[in-house]
Amino acid sequence: MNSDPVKQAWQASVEIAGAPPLEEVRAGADRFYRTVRRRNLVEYVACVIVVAIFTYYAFTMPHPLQRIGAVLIVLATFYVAWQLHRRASVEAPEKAGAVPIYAFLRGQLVRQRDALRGILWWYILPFVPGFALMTAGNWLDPATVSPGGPGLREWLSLAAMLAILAVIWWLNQVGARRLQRHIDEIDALTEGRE
Amino acid sequence: MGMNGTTAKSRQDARYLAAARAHGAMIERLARGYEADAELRRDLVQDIHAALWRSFAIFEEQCSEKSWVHRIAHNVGVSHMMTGRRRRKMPLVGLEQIEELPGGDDPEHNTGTRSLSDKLLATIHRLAPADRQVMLLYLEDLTAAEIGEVTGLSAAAVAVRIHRLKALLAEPYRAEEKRA
Repeated sequence: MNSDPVKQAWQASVEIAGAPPLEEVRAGADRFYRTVRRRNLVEYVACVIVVAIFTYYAFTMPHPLQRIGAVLIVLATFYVAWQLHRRASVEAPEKAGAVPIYAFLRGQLVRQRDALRGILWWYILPFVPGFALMTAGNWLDPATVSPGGPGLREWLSLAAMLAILAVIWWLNQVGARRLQRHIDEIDALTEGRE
Repeated sequence: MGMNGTTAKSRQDARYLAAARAHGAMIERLARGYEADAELRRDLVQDIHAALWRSFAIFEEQCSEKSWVHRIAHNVGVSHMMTGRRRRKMPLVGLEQIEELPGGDDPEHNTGTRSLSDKLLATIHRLAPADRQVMLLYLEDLTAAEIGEVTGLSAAAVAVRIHRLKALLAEPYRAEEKRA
């Protein structure tokens, strides 16, 4: 015990606390991983649904370009799921002991920022070839296109799709800038430290 | 699980139990600094112990056990604080924006029934993460070098915060001297 009365008062506020039962601690540790597994499961289920729908399209769409486009979307879904797992998975809290708090925190923020910043390359663009071919197939298929070729309806739906992609990209860039501000704050606090 | 796995597990359990006994009270105090609500605080303490137990599977004396435990505990505390920030009403501030410990207008302060640790806690709850960590570590009697090792903050960032803390914590005693 030290001689500083303020520190003494603080340390006296809780003086005794034993170790909780080991079974309880192990169950708590499992809870973190159960939550991660549940989140992964939701992603995999979403992935399976998209793959199932577009695999069905790959066999049933009338135009060859639509069928090739559907296959490319299935491939893009696998690629994006892998990237999501690689870039956005949670860092386990027990790894935090090996480095100072702010080095650990910074590492996580940089990883999240890079995932958001690069969203165009690993999340948006992989779907573009498939959607482009499916759209081209729709426009060339007399059964689906407006009489006399692509008209206002087709152009509007294409513009809506591009606008959605642009909004997804923009929201992620806003998120990346917000994370960058946190990273800059940490850098200012830790500057000069090895 | 093979023989080696069993030995590793029991070693992990033993190291965790020793650390939990040595630092259990500190973990409780730290949790009070990160969470005011008793129910949520129980979950936070449980999460810290869970992370700590798992961490002893990979602890290879990379730093002192004390630093290791503080890093794990604060990291879980900060994550808890970040996920709970939407329900917070008061904005968090830096130490430079706090001029005195709470209690000036509080009638309990004058009758002395509000303890010093409660005032410290009320101040801690207002602080932004870096200031909060330095204050909690300082109150746990870690040196400036140890605080730097745990947090990763630069020596200057730690020094300026400890300087402000010392001034803030000495204020009630100075006021008392003036009255006497």
